[in-house]
Amino acid sequence: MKFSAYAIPVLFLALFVYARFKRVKLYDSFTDGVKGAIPLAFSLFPYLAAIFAMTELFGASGLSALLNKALSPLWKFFGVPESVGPLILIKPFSGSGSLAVLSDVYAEYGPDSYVSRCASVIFGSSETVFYVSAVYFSSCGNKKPTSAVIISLAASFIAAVFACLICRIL
Amino acid sequence: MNGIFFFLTTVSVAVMLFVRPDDVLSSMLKGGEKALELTLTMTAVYAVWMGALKIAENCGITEKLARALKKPVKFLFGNVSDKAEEYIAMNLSANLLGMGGVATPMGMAAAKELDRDGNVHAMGMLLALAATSIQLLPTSVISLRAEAGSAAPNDVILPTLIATSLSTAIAALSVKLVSKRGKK
Repeated sequence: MKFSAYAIPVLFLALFVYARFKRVKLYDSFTDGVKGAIPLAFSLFPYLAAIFAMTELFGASGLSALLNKALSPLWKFFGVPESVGPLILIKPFSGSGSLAVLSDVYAEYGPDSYVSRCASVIFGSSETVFYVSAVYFSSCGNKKPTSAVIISLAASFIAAVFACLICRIL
Repeated sequence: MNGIFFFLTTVSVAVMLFVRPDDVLSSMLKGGEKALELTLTMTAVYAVWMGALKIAENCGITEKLARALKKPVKFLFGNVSDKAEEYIAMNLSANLLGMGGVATPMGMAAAKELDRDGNVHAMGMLLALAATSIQLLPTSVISLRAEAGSAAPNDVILPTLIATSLSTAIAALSVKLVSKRGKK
């Protein structure tokens, strides 16, 4: 039996019961949290619109197919499905970009396909390396940890290759 | 991002000028439509998770986790000021729970504190942990899969946890090794 199916319900149940025990006002807290959802989602919209317009053009021009073809030996070498390649390339730069690519993969292959599962794991196990380093150290004057940026990129790539491997088994 | 956007759009439009000029506008509109659709989906996703996270926050779970993280922080970051340690622990605990909104200001505060002490090793460690994602539950991914009609949206939790632990472990270890070699 798939134990993972219980993860979310158990989590929510535990949270609600614990909150009640802690005398936290559930309804007030929940609605208070939801207040931030619309500003957050709509703050993504300009970036999503730009990225989707870009990727649609890139796809319609046939260049995306060309690039995929050029890169396919590389992905094949690492055992990564070709359609997941763009996600690995864009993830370090842009969160909304990778979100756009992920939803495209779901739409094209269906959310339960091997490709979609690889994309899910890669998306969930990596971060926007360049964005994080730019924001975290935006107010720092001294030396910036450049080597850590390279290390993070390499570690994310290794994990992405590994992710495609475990998705075959798990 | 500006460079990428300029390059990809310009080259694409230039190519389409010769092959299918009629499709340029419709492709861009299709992009806008997809963006709006995804924005609405994400509004629903964020509504659920940000509501739940606020409850967790009000229960004091973030602080509790931050307190539990004090020891691991000491081990990974070595000697840092008390203030920096507190910011780092808060940043890690928020990142573990997937609260990006809380994690980012804490990370910036920690970076500023470490920068003042000129502790490049600790700054590198902070980045390595944050930039390889230590989120315990891939909430957006699960929700997006569920929205797309997946039969088992949760079955990526375990692989994601394994992959993200691997990347974080590799990054943390490498940062430690690099800074050790730098000291010699």
